[in-house]
Amino acid sequence: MHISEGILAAPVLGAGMVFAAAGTAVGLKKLKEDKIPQAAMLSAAFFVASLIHVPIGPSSAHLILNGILGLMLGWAAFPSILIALVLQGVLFQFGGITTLGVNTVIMATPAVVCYYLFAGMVHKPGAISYAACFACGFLSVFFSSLLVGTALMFTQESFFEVAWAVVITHLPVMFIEGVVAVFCVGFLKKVQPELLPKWSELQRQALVDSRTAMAEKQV
Amino acid sequence: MYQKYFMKLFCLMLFFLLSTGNALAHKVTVFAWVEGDTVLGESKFSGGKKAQNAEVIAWDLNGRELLRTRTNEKGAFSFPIPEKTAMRIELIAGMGHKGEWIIPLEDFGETVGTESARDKGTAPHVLGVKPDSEQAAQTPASIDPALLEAIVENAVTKALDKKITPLTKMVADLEQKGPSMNDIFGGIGYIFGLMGVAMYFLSRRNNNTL
Repeated sequence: MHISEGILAAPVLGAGMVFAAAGTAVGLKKLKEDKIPQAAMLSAAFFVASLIHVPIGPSSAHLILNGILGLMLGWAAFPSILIALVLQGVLFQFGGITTLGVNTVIMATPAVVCYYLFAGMVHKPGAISYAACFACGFLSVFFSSLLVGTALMFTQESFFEVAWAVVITHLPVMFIEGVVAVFCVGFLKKVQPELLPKWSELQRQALVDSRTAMAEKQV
Repeated sequence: MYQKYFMKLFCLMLFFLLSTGNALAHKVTVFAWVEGDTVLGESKFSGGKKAQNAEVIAWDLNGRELLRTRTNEKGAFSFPIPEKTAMRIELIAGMGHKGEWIIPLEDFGETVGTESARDKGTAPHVLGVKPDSEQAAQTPASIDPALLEAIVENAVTKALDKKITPLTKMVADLEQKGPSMNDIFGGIGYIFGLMGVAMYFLSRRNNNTL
């Protein structure tokens, strides 16, 4: 998913940087104070996830986790992913400094898109929520693959060829990310649902009520 | 409340660290070296997969293309030295993956030097032995010093090649090593450090407004 240095033409790199800067600005603006630790934690998870390699398929692919990151953070996915990518570039030599903007856009845009698509469904009961989470993990990687194709379209091969190759390579990753997202959200829903997005005051009240009811029952 | 956070974080970290064991990375590396009059090279994604059928381009340092070839199923490639100059080997593995390796001029200088010595060596060898081979066989002590030098040099080069090849392979493996634990923990530390800085400035701002 990381595009190496020296492949893309200058206009593509420039456009990537502009979009990434805009997204990061929006993300930092929307990043609330109490969400900073969560953003950092997810950023660290994203940073490490790229080391988990899925040895299926013709080429190499690793976990990305941008779906779950976007679901939890919304626009704050941009700064989180940017920071993680800087460190991946410097420490692991993934991607590169000039392609930082493009890579950020490739991975963070689907995260934000998935946030808008699926965040509302997370607190729905049972199957709907799980299906939404799976789709979130799955589609975020899928959209990223399409964006890789778009970025490379301006430089070498045709869009369909590249996008198709990337999608095929990342198919196992998509499934794994879907499952990971389902488990993460399922766990958080049980343990700490207020960490999940779109957690409204109303639902909080309902939870408190049910807890007090349970406490009373025990007494 | 916070204990819960830490436990979760800890579990997450543990999961990721345990699963990184043999799994490495996502970039493509090339390593090339000169052996005799050919350039040998190998390439792989640092996840361990070989970069099969990837395009290899050799450039000289001024950006002139010398030749193109492709890697085989084992991710290796080789081509005869097209020109005695420092070159940049570029590997394009598709989907935005690219790696490169530079072979300095000294590498070529050395081998081309021994090449020419070897050539010089064989010439007197042929000239010196063939006409009076009987005489040479009878009096082995009286070998022409130039001839002797050539033979020794030849043998030494061969032996050195044999000894050095595994070392070159080893260097190649080292060169293509994935990120170490230091890198991983360093990165995580950086991210949490940044979080700390952000929290610090926010808390200062809150204190000022109070």
